[in-house]
Amino acid sequence: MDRGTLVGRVAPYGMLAPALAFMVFIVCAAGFLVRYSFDAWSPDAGMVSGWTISSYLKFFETRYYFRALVSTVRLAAIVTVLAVVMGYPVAYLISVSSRYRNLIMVLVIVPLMTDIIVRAYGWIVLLSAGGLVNSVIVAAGLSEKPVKLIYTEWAVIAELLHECLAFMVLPIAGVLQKINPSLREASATLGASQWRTFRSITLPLSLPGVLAGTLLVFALGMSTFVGPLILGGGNVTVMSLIIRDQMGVVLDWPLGSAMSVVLVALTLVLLFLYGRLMHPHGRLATRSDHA
Amino acid sequence: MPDLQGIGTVASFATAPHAVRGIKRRPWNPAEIVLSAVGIAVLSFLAAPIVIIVLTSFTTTTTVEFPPVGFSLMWYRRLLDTLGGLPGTRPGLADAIWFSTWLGVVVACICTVTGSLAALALHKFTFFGKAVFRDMLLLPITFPSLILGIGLLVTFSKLHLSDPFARLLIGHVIVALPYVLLSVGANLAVYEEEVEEAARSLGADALQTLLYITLPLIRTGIIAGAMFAFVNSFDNFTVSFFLSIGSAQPLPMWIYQVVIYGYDPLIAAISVFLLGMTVAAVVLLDRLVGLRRVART
Repeated sequence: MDRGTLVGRVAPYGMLAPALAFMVFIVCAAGFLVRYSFDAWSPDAGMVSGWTISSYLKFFETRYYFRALVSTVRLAAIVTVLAVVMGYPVAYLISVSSRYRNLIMVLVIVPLMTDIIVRAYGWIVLLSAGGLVNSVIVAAGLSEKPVKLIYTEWAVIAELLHECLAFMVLPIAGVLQKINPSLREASATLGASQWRTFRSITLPLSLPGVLAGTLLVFALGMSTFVGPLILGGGNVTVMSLIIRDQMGVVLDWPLGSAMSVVLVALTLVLLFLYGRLMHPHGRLATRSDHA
Repeated sequence: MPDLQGIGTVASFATAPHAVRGIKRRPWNPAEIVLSAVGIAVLSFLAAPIVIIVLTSFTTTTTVEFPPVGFSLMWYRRLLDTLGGLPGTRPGLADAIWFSTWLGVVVACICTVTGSLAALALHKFTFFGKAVFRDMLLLPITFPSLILGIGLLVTFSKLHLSDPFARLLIGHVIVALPYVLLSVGANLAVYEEEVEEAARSLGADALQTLLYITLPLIRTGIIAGAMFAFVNSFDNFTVSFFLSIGSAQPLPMWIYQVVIYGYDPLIAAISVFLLGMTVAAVVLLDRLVGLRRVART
């Protein structure tokens, strides 16, 4: 197409404009949240425009709110660790089993494509008093009567894991596939056992995939909403739920906005620190490039 | 189909040389048995909630039980009755389905047109601020939908935007647009520009080249993007949760209202219907485009 002419110089902006018009809203959304978090609020007067940090103080001084923040980080961390433990073997199977690779990939991706409410409903059915899990527990003699599984933190963890596992498996499997097989062959030729080869060659080279996966899963876990809402049953208090309460029930928008800002900021800080911890000099990243 | 950040890595499967061609046939050692057992356990965990819904939808009881009792299609009949608005059936279900369908179609149309235009602009031209614009258009993929929903709620109240359809439309378009951009962009990156040049040298003007050469060449990317956008909007819950007002409810919101007050097998039948739609979309995409090419985005 014509470049250099006036039309050619204006055209790209004209073509981008409709799409960018929608993205203006996302910038507004972030901007308003930050701005409102500094407004004042009282039950009688409602929201009063101003510049104060009282909402932030209220958040950190109220034990209930602060505990929600702690339990959110805890939930995200538990799910991230479980996702590594459960996701790595699956990723490894994808990389070594040519026969079942496609089948495993489909099983990993299908939950990702499934409606989140449908998935949550599936977990309700599985974990309810007469559900599959309780039938197994009772039949195995682990408990006399059905155990309360639904509306506990475990139910929320299960649902969140189900939602996030693909984000752990796919990056790890991607890195594992790129590892040069001659490295493993060389290791075997030199007399290393399979376990030794895995520990000294495969595992270190696949760490960048683990890093990418943990970042994604942790970020998703920090702002998880549907699981706690439907499977928490009021027993699991996380940030997303107390933010929902402030925005939709109490209507203390400055506090809700401050909580949103804290949640996003804390997520970014933790991810940044974790990234630094994992590769302080960016060594891991370059090592995978050579692999 | 909620967030798809991870899907990009599928690309490496489709493209990377499959170096390890599988475990060679030799006696199983303990490590492989353990690994396979763990793998099967995790995959069962992934499949369980979906399988259980399908089983539950054929039950003859009015409560959810395991193992499901008998086999009947009564809950599917009930679903059809409800759609027809028979007395004694769930009110509002048909409305919710039509609302979500209509919303999804409009979202898909808007995303396809604006996203394809943007992808073309980013591919064809070099201009000031290109990288920034690109990053901005891809921002919704990494932006938490919880925060997006809350931020839009605040923004719309500031703008006094209280039309239920418009609120959801803007929210859903924002979430789905990046996928159209990626899908069309991936298509543009691999097609042969020489064909376009040939058309131009044979006397076609810019518009003719676009209509008869470029658009047919990137057709698959556009179709894939449109379907992504539709399914994405149809399944969206978090953004809808904060933006839907009044009685106009999209389907996931309607299901949520029922699920929190008790969960009868009708929900299972609706879920199977939704699952079927997702599977149909995936199969259709595979037939039309080939999943590997979609995944490469």
